[in-house]
Amino acid sequence: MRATRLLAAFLVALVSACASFPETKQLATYDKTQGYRYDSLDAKENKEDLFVVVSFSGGGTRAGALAYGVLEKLRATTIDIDGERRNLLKEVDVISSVSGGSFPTAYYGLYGDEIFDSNSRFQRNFLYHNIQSDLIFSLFNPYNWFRLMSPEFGRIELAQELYQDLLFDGATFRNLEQRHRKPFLMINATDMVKGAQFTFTQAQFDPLCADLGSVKIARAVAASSNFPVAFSPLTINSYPGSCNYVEPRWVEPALHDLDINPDRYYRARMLRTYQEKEHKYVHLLDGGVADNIGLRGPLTSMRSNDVEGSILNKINLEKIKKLVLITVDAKNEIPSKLDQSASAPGTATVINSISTVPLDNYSFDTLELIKDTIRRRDDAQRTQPDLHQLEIYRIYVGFDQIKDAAERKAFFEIDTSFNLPKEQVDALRRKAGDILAQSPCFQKLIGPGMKKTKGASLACP
Amino acid sequence: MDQYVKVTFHCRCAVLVDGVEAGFTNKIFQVETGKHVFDLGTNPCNPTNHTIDVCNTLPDKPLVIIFEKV
Repeated sequence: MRATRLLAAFLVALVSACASFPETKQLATYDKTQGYRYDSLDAKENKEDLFVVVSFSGGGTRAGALAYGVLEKLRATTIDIDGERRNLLKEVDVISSVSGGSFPTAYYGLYGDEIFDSNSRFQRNFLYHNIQSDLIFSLFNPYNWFRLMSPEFGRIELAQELYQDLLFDGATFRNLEQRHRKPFLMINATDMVKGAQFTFTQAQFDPLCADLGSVKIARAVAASSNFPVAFSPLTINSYPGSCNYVEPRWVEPALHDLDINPDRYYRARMLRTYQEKEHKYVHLLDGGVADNIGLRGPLTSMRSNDVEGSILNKINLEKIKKLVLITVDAKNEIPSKLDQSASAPGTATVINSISTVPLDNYSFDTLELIKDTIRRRDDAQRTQPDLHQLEIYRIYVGFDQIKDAAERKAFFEIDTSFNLPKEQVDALRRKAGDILAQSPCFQKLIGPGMKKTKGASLACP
Repeated sequence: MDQYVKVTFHCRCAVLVDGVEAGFTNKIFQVETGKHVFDLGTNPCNPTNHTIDVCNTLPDKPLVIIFEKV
């Protein structure tokens, strides 16, 4: 009896001692021509003159279904490019995503049009699947109890394993890179120490001397949808100073910009911090914590010459003639009766408020910044005809675009969950396509385009 | 934080801002506010580069940066 107990204790200790998060491989030598980067993708089929950036927000299956509906509509839309009708989905250059929006992003990036098959794993195992119960079920597996005793193995690792089984198998960013095809994926998480966006691109991994190619896609998606408290933080290894990393040349001058451009200064400082040898790990939370709309990366790329693959530089170099930004925002608004009672809301309600209100406010600010950035560019072009005359189309897909009040309310009240009824998923897919099709700027893009008269605005709206 | 610059040179070539191609000579282009190093890559020019704090420009009043042929 005693021997059996000892054996059991030994096995428990063994299982928990062996359980650890998957190690991120060290980058042998820094090489900015290698790894998953925008510039390493083939631009022959999808040229940059029409540059389409799509962002998918967080919001569980609601966000995934809305994003999927937009992909379906883009696929069903053709656009005239140099006299040739092209499928608009094939013209998408970049998809930036957060949380629930990262599932269709990663799946489309890996498997392309297979995502649209009625029997695709994406439909069967994500859109119309109760992922939530699978996640909970994995916690009841006694084998996992022992693994979870290890401080280096958390609930997020169970989520990653589930996403591998259901959707991505063992696919890595090396596999994605080897496809050489756009769109370029920006799957976003949040660095919980720096409070900043962390994007799964090799440019982000370079200062860590870590090889993104070795990272599984399922791990990036798990990090991006790593809702705080429900899951444990996800850890990435860092090996700063070990790969002859060469810091980009903008960093040194930007460190003098605290007064005139603090945003640039802090970007530079962050990049420096990642290079400090004592920082051996990066702990990641849901991308929504830093940016729940997935637009901050594209916004910075539109405003800065510094970031790898800068959209601003492509505009300056006259590579882009039409810039299209499609924002898919699954923000919901669950009605509250709290203000009908004198009783103070409970702790869970308070936690829910403090975890969602700042995200919504920040998303609102990001959308306003995008509008402002476009307006200023348009004004500048009208004032100065020597600037490259760029057409800009901003298209927003969100529930507040629904005209019918009752219908709008019904969509706004869809829960944030990884398990939605089939009818809701179907409705979200259809509504995504409808909102996109009814957008005046979308109609202008696929139709007549801009009127190019002297001094006229080239931005929509 | 948008700024506007015009880099003049005797011929049209790419302008590198902080080591990255970011515009063309003799044509106004947009840069982010801040300290930047401007150069013309392998084109022989004088000076070889300009390091400048770029701020307070306007589309119709860009900062003019002059490179001369060597």
